[in-house]
Amino acid sequence: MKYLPNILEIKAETTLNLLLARAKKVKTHSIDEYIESGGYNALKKALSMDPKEIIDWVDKSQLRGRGGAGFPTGKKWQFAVQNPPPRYFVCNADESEPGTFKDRVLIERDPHLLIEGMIISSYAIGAEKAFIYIRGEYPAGYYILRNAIEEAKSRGFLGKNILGSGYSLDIYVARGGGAYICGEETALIESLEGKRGHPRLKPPFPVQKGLWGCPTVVNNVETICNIPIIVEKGWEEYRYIGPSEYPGPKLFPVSGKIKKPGVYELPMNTTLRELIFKYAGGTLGNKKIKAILSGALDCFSADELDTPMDYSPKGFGGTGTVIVLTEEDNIVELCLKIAEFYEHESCGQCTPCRVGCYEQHNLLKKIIKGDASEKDWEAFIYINKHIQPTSICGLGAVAGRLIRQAMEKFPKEFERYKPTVVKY
Amino acid sequence: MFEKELEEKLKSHINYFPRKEQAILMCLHEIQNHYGYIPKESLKPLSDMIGLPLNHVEGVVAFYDMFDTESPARHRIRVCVSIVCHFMQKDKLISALKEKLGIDMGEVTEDGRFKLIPVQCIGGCSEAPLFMIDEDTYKFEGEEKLDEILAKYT
Ligand SMILES: Cc1cc2nc3c(=O)[nH]c(=O)nc-3n(C[C@H](O)[C@H](O)[C@H](O)COP(=O)(O)O)c2cc1C
Ligand code: SF4
Ligand code: FES
Repeated sequence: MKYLPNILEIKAETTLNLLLARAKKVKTHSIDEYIESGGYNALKKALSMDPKEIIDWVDKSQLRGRGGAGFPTGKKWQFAVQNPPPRYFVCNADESEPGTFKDRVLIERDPHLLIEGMIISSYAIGAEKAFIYIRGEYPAGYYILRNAIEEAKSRGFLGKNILGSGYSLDIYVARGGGAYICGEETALIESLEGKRGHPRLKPPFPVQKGLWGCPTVVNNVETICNIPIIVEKGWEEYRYIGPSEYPGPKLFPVSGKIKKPGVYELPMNTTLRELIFKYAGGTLGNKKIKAILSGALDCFSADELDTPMDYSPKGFGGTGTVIVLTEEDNIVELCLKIAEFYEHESCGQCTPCRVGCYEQHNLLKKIIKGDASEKDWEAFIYINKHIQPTSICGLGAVAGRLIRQAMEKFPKEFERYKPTVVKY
Repeated sequence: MFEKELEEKLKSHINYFPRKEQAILMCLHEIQNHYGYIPKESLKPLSDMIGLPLNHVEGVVAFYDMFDTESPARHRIRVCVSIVCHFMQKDKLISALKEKLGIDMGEVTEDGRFKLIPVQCIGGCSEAPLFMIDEDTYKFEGEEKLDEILAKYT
């Protein structure tokens, strides 16, 4: 590669050696290194299979989307192929949730795993054009992917008549421009069409009307990287990785007040406690844990350390992001940062989200300064409750959630700032 | 019109995608890299190349955070002020940067060398606190190291 920006040496550890088999090493693996370790064998196998059979395998593997919502991937693909072509396949590499850096490690270190996954996925759903939408703040990833695509083309894995199968595919890489909302799949599609990233009303879902009104599958980087593993091992063997209800490897980006921050690849029957203490070395200075955040979504307390890292209703869920805060950290200050984040990232389309995120942040600033009157407190609580119900997209739906959980789980932290006791 | 070299780059982005309007963000990155910001005068020629109204291009520029039509600077320092960096002492990094450059957040140094920009999470939180200079991502490893890094950008 001619030019590569400076990249980070993020620690990556694995007990499974699947998604991070190569990426645990801090380097970008070339196509030769990828092929040497068995890469592109899954593609060869896939091209000898009927596309329907691949979808069936992915369905039976019980793979769920790793982009946050945990939607079953096989089901999504089944919906897509019910609609007539042209169909498109889109890789969501917008990764902008605070605390999340798992996709980055895959993109920068093992780009061919992602590309092989994209080719198989596109073949399965009958797409002849596929796109990777990578966030603007990952320039190195952009160059690495462009380069890897050229490498794959030169070996006949991409382009016209892939490996003599008669199937043709082009993959395009597009960069974002610094907007968290473009990770939401319909906003991403708008952005990919060259527009502002305003989420669309659903339904219709992207699998019905996505890019240019055509059926489109949007999957997360980590989800796609599971596809070669499923094809290579077969769905039955894949189902033995981790717990039977939530099979497959999962990446957990761990950061905050922790001794060994980094990305961990583990099965989903791992608990939050094991992840933090057994793998990530416990807290900095052995301080007591106060809160664990799954990005900007949920807030867990130290009483909830036995939460399993899976997609069950009581599981950790989401992207697998773990941010650890300890006894020294101020929860109200945390809420202020969360409110700031949502205010900054609301796209402004719907009134409750636009006004709500702004006011929530504003009132919280007052509260933390000690300037909030009882009326301000009431307004704050009212707004926090009402951002959610009438929003177009998931951002508005969760913009008040972590803060509400924090108020419920850490009432004392908030009391300090209250003139009189206000009931939530 | 654009200078030849930049125009070639923009054309290559426009020809790369199945539909030319898809290249708009790529072109904006390219223009910003070239001029150190996005001059307002560049938007009309860009809209002509892409074949969409100026109004559309202006709307896109305004929507995306990374694009700056206000202040030219040779290098953009993006400092993460998001959750993890906040609790991992981002303030130390910020005050070191402010002091070394003699500017506040959002400002450009007098010689036009650096602009200091607060940003949300840049996705490398295990290494917090983090910052980017142009396309490079760095962690904060003390003031001496910071001097070394800054010296690379003239
Ligand atoms: C505000 C918002 C931001 C999102 N950001 C991302 C993101 O950065 N990356 C991602 O893969 N999914 C993100 N999602 C989820 C996507 O909308 C979509 O569900 C996902 O890309 C589907 O892929 P999966 O089924 O493989 O998980 C976001 C959703 C919302 C509501
Ligand atoms: S909920 Fe918020 S972010 Fe989502 S579309 Fe509405 S205004 Fe935009
Ligand atoms: S919070 Fe600063 S890089 Fe993620």
